[in-house]
Amino acid sequence: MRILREKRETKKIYTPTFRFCAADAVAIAGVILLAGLSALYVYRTFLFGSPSQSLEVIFTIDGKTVYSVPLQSNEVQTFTTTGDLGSITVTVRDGEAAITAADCPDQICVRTGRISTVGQAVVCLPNHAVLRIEPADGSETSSAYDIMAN
Amino acid sequence: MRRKTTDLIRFAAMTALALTLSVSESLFFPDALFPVPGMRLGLANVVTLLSIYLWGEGPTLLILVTRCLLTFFFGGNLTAFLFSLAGGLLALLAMTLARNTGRFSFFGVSTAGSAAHNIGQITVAALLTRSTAVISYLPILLAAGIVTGLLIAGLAIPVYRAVIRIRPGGDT
Repeated sequence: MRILREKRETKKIYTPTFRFCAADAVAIAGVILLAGLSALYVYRTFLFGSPSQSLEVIFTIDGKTVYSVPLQSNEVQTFTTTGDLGSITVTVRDGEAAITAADCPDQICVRTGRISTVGQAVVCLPNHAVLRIEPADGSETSSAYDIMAN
Repeated sequence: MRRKTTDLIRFAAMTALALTLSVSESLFFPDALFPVPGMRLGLANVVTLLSIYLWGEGPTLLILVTRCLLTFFFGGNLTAFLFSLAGGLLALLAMTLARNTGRFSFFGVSTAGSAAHNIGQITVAALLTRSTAVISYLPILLAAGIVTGLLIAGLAIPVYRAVIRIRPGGDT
């Protein structure tokens, strides 16, 4: 505590201002720009990729792919995996995917709802699980094949 | 000695305020209220904003870490602890840098802190899941962070004025 105080006494004292100023507007514009850039990054394949690409749903735990299935299918598919905290159920239907049940305390992943676009994700943090959508010929799949080939 | 005790009481009172804010926030505005995971008001950032101006970043770091540890002890889980610590530390860093430029008002400093808080949370989520897919939450979180950042600054202004009034001349 004394060290903190001695340092402070030699330090410049900052007096705050309360009036919204031009620099604040620049800061806000900067954050909006950052949000825009990250949105561009997330939806880059959706915006600039070829629209005819078929999509697949990839489910990972700790970054390792547990399974990947085509997003478009005629029947309703459900998959159940056991994670750190218990089972996680994923449902794929009508070109949409969702985590529909999970043994985690917060149920945030279940409430996140359905995803249908490349770049979107449903995250279950307690289980370290991610459900995401990628183009079917995405790098993730080919790297998985590479590992198998090796 | 007297000064040291006064400081201790001030930091303790501020920690108690931060703890009260973060606990009441989770009671009145539970996560279920927000459409995107990780979206919240971040009321405890009021305390960070106030204390970097009142006492500097050193004591603020102390208050922040104590608050996160206490929330953890009061029945929080490890994931939530890592989240609030990473977000809080990055927000403190951004607010300190923004304050040091001397150009921003409370509003600009608070917005910077809010954005940094979101980036910290996304980083922790990416490390936990070992996947960059969590970045898909970042755009909406940053956008919401602007609103909450301005709100936090608006809340902090009357509190700062009241605290300064207790000790005329700003000897806090």
